[in-house]
Amino acid sequence: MIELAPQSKVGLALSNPVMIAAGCGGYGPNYQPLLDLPSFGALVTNPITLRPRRGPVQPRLVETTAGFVLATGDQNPGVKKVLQQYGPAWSRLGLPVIAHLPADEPDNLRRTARALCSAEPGMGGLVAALELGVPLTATPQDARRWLRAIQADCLLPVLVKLPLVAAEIMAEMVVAAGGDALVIGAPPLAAAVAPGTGQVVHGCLYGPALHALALAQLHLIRQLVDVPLVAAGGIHSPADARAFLAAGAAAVQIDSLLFINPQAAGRIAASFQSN
Amino acid sequence: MIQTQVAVTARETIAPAWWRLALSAPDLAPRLLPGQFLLVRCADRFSCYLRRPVFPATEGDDVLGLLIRPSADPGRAWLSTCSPGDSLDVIGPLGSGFPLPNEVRNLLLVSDNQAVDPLLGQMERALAAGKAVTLALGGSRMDSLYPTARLPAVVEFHAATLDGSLGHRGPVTDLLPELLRWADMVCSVGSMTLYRTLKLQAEQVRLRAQTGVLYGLLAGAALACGVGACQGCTVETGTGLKLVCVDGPVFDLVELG
Repeated sequence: MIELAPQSKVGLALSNPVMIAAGCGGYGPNYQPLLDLPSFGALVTNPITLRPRRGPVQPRLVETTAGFVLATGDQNPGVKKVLQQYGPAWSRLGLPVIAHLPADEPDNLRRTARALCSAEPGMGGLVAALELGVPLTATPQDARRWLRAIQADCLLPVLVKLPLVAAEIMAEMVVAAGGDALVIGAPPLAAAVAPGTGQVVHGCLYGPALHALALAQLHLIRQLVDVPLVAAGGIHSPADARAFLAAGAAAVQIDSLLFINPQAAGRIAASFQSN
Repeated sequence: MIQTQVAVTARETIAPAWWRLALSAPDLAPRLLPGQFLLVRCADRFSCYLRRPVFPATEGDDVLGLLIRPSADPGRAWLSTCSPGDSLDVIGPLGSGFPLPNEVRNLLLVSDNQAVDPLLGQMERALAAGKAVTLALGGSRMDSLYPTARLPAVVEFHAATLDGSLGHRGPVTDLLPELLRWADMVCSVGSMTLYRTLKLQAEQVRLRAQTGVLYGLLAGAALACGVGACQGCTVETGTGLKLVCVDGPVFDLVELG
């Protein structure tokens, strides 16, 4: 077992280091027909906020060379509806579910975390942990306020997902603020021109090139902090995952490979099952 | 929903720059409804990272027919080079298909573009169920329309071309007011202009557009996952935000607003 939150009272033990990244596996059941979900270490949900978020109008998705730009604006139906719609399925997925919370007003974060934590059954609630998404503009004070708000009424471990391009700068302040583990990191902001309309779509960049960016950040951050690190970005093969683990990651998250080849994502998880 | 390999068993030129691929898909063909789609892995990851949605028509127990046209899109251009012996990595069936309630007697199929595969599948399904079918196709000129010689004789066919080279000179929507009086259900594939006009014309003919009569397929949506995970294909509808990949791609035109 891999312990991702050794300092937490609850802890977060994974049976496999290969997780599914936020924004790529939906809220749980989406890939159930295509993937053997229990063979993965954990699933991080799509964003969950206190109130619904509608996200931008189309176009949202533009293919780039070896990747794509996706703008969703953290679209989600709000924590209440997420729990109604997907909560009952989480305990039957066969793997730990981690709720992804984008940074928000502290009181909103506190109420969202409380809703997820108190949604029993089981002492740990329906989710095993929370993952806080931190934006590029975050200050040390922001990080402290957000983590304090989440942890006010919720004992679950909190992973903090840092922006890939600023992970090194933010890592120490987030650990000091109380993050149990770091996720390195969120896809970089990017823009691409939509074919046909010519509109510029501003969103997150996905694709295999992210692996090299994440690997560089991982090497740097390993020297700075002692908490468990989770590497995310551009994994497309078992070798990509192994490179992250060899560089000091305790676990990894698969992102856009889910979209383009779910079977390949499943094979990566399976290749670590006996480890 | 499965991810599987399907073999290309035939490639046929059905008209100049119109090709049909036959795919051996025993696991998919019996389950794929007209209007549902597959996501196909195309070309290489560098030039074509995302899968492409295709809307093949079921032709028998284990064969899917896929129409191919020249395309500037690298994925679709790659598909146009596929030939017998090749295999395609596909995920499906995905999304919702066109309905075909028992009480429907006169089915009108309409398109103003070349993505007619789902209508051909719905046509075959309706004929097998004993419905009367009329197909109205519109395009810029004769060679941009699906070749009429391939249509069953029992299907009433209407053409509209902007240059007048086949059928009515003008948009296909010019033909619809009369056809809408006959039809008790309409399935369409085309532009948003077609869908808006269809709805307006239906309102004039029937006093108001009712739900359960007019259906349109959003074939041009950019799709990444196909399973409702990525939120890339969200559209606003009269009943809230919907995902084209799981709530559609077939929508009631009254709902599309």
